[in-house]
This record gives sequence, C-alpha cells and structure tokens, in this order.
Amino acid sequence: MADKSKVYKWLDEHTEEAADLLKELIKIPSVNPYFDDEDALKGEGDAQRYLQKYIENMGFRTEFSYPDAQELIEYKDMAGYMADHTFEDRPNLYGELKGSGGGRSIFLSGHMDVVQTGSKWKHDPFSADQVGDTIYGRGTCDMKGGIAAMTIAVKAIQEAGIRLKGDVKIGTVVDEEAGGMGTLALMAKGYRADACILTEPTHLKLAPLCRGILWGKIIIEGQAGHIELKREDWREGGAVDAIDKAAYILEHFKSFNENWTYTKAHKYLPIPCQIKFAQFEAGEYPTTFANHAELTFDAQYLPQEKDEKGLGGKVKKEIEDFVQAIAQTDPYLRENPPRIEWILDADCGETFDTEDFFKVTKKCLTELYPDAVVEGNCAHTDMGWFCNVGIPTLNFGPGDSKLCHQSDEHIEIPEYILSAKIIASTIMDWCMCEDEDGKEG
Amino acid sequence: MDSKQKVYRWIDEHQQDVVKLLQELLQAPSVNPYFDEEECYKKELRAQSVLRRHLDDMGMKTEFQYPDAEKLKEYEGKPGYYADHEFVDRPNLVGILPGEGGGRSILLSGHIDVVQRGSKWLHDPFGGTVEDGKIYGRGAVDMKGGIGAMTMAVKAIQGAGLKLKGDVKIGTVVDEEAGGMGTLALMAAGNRADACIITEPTDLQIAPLCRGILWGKIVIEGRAGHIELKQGDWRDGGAVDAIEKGLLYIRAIKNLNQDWAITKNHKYMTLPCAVNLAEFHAGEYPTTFANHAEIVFDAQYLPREKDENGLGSKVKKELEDFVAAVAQTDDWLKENPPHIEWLIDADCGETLDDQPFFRQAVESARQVHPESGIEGIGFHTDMGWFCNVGIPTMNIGPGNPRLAHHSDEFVTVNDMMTCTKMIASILMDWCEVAE
Repeated sequence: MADKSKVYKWLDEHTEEAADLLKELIKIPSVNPYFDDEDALKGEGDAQRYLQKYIENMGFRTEFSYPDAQELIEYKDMAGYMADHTFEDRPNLYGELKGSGGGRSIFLSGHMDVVQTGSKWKHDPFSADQVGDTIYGRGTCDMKGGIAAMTIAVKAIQEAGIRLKGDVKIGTVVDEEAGGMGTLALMAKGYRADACILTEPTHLKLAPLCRGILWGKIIIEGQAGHIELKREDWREGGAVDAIDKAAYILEHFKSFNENWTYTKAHKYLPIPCQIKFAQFEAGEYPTTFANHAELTFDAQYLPQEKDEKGLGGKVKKEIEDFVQAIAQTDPYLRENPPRIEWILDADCGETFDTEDFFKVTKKCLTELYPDAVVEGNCAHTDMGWFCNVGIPTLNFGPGDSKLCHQSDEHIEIPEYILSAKIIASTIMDWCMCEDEDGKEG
Repeated sequence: MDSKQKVYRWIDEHQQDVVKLLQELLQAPSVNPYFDEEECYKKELRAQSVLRRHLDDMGMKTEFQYPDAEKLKEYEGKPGYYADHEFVDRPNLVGILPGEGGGRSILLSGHIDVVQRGSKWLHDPFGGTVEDGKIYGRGAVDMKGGIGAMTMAVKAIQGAGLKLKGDVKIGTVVDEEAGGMGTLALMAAGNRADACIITEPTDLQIAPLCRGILWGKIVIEGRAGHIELKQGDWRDGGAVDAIEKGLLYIRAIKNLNQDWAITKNHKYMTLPCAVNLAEFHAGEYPTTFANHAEIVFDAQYLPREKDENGLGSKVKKELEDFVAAVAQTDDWLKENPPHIEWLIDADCGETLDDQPFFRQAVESARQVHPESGIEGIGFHTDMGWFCNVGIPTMNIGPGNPRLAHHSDEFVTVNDMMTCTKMIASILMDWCEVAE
C-alpha cells in the first residue's frame, strides 16, 4: 500500500511551488478570442506551451492538436461544433504518462481559455497578486486553479517516489468558454481513459453531473402607435403594446417554472431547472407603444433530457410549444405568434453514483474532507463529450464558481492544495500504485 | 349670396392657392434644431419668412420676435421655459390685420417647427408632392397644414372683398416640438386677443382642451448574480432580479390605470388618462440576473390637475407616492426604493363650454362641417399659455394626428379646403363682418 501521507507532505512542503505554477498560468493571459478583449490577451497558445513544457519536464509525452471545423464536419449539429470557429495558435494539449501496467487509466482535463477581463478589478487581472492566502486573477477559479491542482497532484505523486500502474493523461483544451469545440476535438481525436476528472471549480464538492444550458430570446412583435391617442382595433392597424404582451408571457412562465420545480429536480442538484429571464428590452420612444419586445432567457436541462445529438432539442421544443400555447390564449398573439431565437445550447453529462469511479472518488474526498458533499454543477462544463464516449467523468476542483467571470476572481491557497491532495489520492486509488519495493501494493 | 357663401366660393375657386401655400411651407424645411437632423433642414427662419411674405402681401403688419431665455427668466419653473434654448435665426412671427373697429379680436396660432424626417419615406419629405388628393411632407399634418388653412381663411375673407370689425392676428411660433418656449415668448411679449384658434391637427374636430404629458422613467435597482446557480437570501448578498421587480410595477400600474379610467375622465375626452409604458430596459447578459431595470412611461393629466405653475407637479407627486407605495409591498424594494426620473412635463389647457367663444366656434365650424364633434386632444398642444393669460382657445385643424411624426405624413386637399372654410366662418362670426 502506497503511503499517501508522503504525497500530502510533499504538497504541504511545496505550497509555494504549487502556487507558482498557478501564478505562471495566470500571468499568461489566454482570453478566448471570441470574447471582446485586447488581442494581446488572447494567448491560449502561449499558456498551452507553458503547461506542455511543465509536464514534459515531469516525463509526459505530449502533443498539440488543432481543432478543425472541416475535419470535424461529421459532428455538425452536435454539442460543441461551431462551423465558423478557427484555431490558429489555439492548440489542445494532450500529455500521457505511462503507468507500469495493470492499472486503470485516468484523464485529467480542463480548459485553458478564460473569459474576457471585464471591468471593476481592484487587482491586476493578469499579475496573479497574492494577498495572504489568496491569489487573484482571471482564471484563478475558472479554471487554471483546477489545471494547476491536477498537474501538481501528479507531480506530488512522482516526487513522493510513487509509481502508478495506470496511465495518467492530461488534456487541456481551448474554446470551452465559447462553445466547447476544444473538448469535442479532443474526443474526436480518440483520446480515451477509464475515467476522467474535470477540475472545474466545484468548491471541493463532488459534481457527478452538470446541466445543459439553453439561451434563447423570445421575440414579440407588437404594433407601434401613438401612446396618447385612442387605440384602434389591432386588426385595422391599431397599436399593440409589446411590453404588455411580454409581461403576459412572463406571468405564464411563473406556473411553468413552478411545474419544473417538481419535474426537473435532481437528487444531486440544489435547485431545479428553470427558465430565468435575464434581459427584457422593449420600446424606443416615450410617445410610442413598443412595437417589439425581446425577452432573453437562460434555461437549464438535465442530462436525462438530452436528445440523440447530446443536446437540448427536446427541451427547446417544450419551451417553443409552451410559448405557442400562451399565444393561443390571446387573440392578437394567436395571429402574431412570438418566436424564439436560440442563442446557445451548451450540453451536459452525468456519471451515476453506482459507478466505481464515483465510489472511489467519493471515498478519497471524504477521507481528506469529511464535510464534502455531492452536488451537481448547476452550470455547464465540458463533461458531456467525455460521458458521450463512455468515460465516467466527475467534476472536482478548487474555487467558488460564484467568482467565475467576475472581477477580482480569486482562489484560496489552502483549498487549492487540499484539492490537489484529493486529486492525488483519487489518482492513486484509481490507477493503483506499485509497492515502494516494486511489488504490487 | 350672403357673405359667407362668397368667402366659401372664393376658397373653392382658389383651391390651387390653398395647396400652393402649404407646398411652399413644406418646401421650407423647418426642423426644430433640438432634433437629430442635417443642419440644412433646420431653417425655421426660412419657413417663417415664406409665411411673412404672404402676410405682408395681405397687408398685415408683421414683425419677428425672438425668444430669449435671459429676458424670460421670470418664467423659470413654468411651462415652456428652457434656460439653455437658443434662438438665433429662430423668430416667432406676429402679423396684425387691424379691423374696422367695434369687433372682437382673434389670434390664429400654430408652430412652424417640425420634427426630424425620420426614415422610411416613400415621398420627398420636403417636396410637398400632391398625389391622389393628398399633400405629402414633414409638417403636412403637424402643423403647416393648419397654418396654411388659417392663413388662407383670412385671405379668402379679403378676397371676397370683406372686412372684419375685430383685429385678426397671426402668431406662428418656433420650438413647440422641443418644449414650447416659442409660445411662452409670444405670450410674454404681450400679444393678446379676445380668442384664439390653434390649428393643430384635430381631424377637423373641435378640441377645447389638450392634456398635459409627463414622461418619466421608473428606475429599479436589483442585484446581479449568476442565474444558473443557487442564490441565497438577498440580505446575505443573494441576487435580486430587477425584471421580476419591474413586473411588480407593471401589475401595479395596470391596477392604477383601472382606477384612473374612472377617476381621470373628461366629458370631452374619448379616453381617460393613463400611465402607458413605452419602454422596458433590463439586463445585460443571459447568465446574470438583471441588476437594473428602467421603465419609461407616458402619463397624461387633465387641465384641472395643473399646479400653480401651470404644470403637472401634483400628478408627479401622485405617481411618486404610488411608486413608493408599491415598494412598501416588497421587502427588497422597501429597503431599495425605486425612484422616478422625470423627462418631460408638457403643459395643457382648457376652454370651458360656458365660454362664448367655445359656443361660437362650435356653431360656426359646424355650419361648414356638421360632422365636427367636440373632442379634446389626447396629446399636448401649446394652448396652455394662451389659457393661462386668459385667452379662450380652441384647437381646430386639418389632418389625422396619428400621422404626425410619421413617415409619409400627409393631409388631404379636401380637409385643407374644409378647414379653411371652418376657420373663415369662425372669424366672420367672432370678429363680425363690417358693413
């Protein structure tokens, strides 16, 4: 039996080295190019090269691969496929550390891209300021913290003189924040393992699922007309207030959401799926009835609701049908039905708690962190494609997801180190270790 | 043939002149400079000069009077006063045709400025094109049509060889579309008469009142937060959805309007005052709860609700109290009360139906056009100041007000002709024809 305490001890004694790895990654801005930010900050390639060198030094065999929409054409209309995304100097990094044989392999994965800088930072977003035990910077949570933790976890195992039987594979992808084509390409390339940890920030919770996310816009056409004058029959061109119709639709979604509270709950999710309205835009001028209203929403779906393409087609249909049903209750809307413009469908995945990998991970987690809970990720992660190809996958990583995409995103070093210990422990139990004298443990 | 018949016949025989005057006015673009438009179209002076030439030809004594914020300072806080409005090359035009004596005087008034062209015109907005009996152009309805009709009415009486006992004054103002400082200046300069007709487009209806207009913005603060994650109690920093709070106001305003539908009626208005919502803006990104919502509304008030300054502060107070009361029904709003940002207060006025001029205008107008009903104007006109200084004032003019400010604004030649006769009829009865 390998002595895990040596691994933990190494991590405790090398927190600075561990923190430095994270800081170096933060200092190489890797904003996804599909976000509005300075071009100089869009360095996914540089960040990947840094990590590539780092894991090569650990003995990983590495390779870069570039997603290519043309090569991936067979995945058209499936999760993560974006026909117009290009990948110049935007490589996925794959690294493999061979085990001595006879163990199970593991994939450690995360995305290297980060969202735009945004405003209102008190700390420089790319200088990785450390204040006490806190490191600030874009990507500390989402998710260079997780990438650094999984990397340093492997290193700690090596430094403790422990040899794994199963292979360890590291795959860091680009383009997660703008659609997920990096992970699609990684899986399409054929990289596989017996299990996968996605180190998205779960705040040390074990997340065996994530939810699919739909963004859509309900577009309601009204009819303009002078707001201070008497309205004529709309059939004869009279004004129709699009704000009023939009409010009517919003009222109906209350009962719709109430129903989803019961029908779209999951035992590992703290909240049910809902349709949440994020934007309401209507009207142009104070004297004119709004002739157009747009309601932008975020709706979530459960892995069990995925369609044959791994996406939210069924739930889209459900929402579209409901909007049409509302339209049937209003004489004007019946003849002028609102439509939905779909903006995003981010897929999801789930690993059941009956899976060995779930049990192993949960045990390792609880040993080091007795307060740990199992709680699905309410937002999207890239786990869908891993699950689609049959790899049991869990999200587990350091950092509070509420800080993602916010100004002054930060991570606590003790949590970061603890996550590395838990990941190391899981790797050791899953891949299995050789005895220190070379025999099986 | 009696004198009125002579005048109507003159008008019938001079239809081309009626059309031509309006065309000339439309071809002199006079977009209010406070609108977003090309500079070359912002020529109120040009349009006033076109009209002045006509009035001069008719033997009227004319004069340009320039509003001046400095000189009008005593009107600060009152309707139409804008400290920052400037009037270089933006004169009011006043013309006087003295009567033979012994009759009542009348003031015919209208605004020469128009709003910006806007888009989607199929006709030249400044061409004055006539097609199928319709005259097209920016201002055809609002309100060069009315100015043309009132001018031709005076000309027709002269053309028929008649003279009036009372004085006829024509006062055309600038800046109505951006606040009404032209009319304020016209009244402040002491121009007076025993009655006034404003030829705003009433679709040939007789409008003894207009409503005051308030534009305001209800500003509601929420608190941002990730829309897909579990949100805690707002007292502990959880998100607050500003759209949801905005809906609370939409519901409450519906209820308020039900009350107003009963309490804010007027016998000469076909619809009650209401708080109508024109814009709703909230939210920035699909994954974030809206932390801010703005609801822009247009609320109307009746002349009887005017405050001591002639404005809508009582109704503003009523709406502010309402917004505060709604906030009391919600824990978050109680601690983070929304407020109203006021954008506009356009005043109003009313001439009561016991006034001799009210009765005369109705009778004389209906002689020409029996279908003319009595119906107040739902929107604002400049009649407030005329009423404030004690001049009984009615709005009567050609054109469908729904076409005002729209692309392909037009007035029919028929309405122009009818309106010209209606105004001539009122002039002859009110000012009396001299023997």
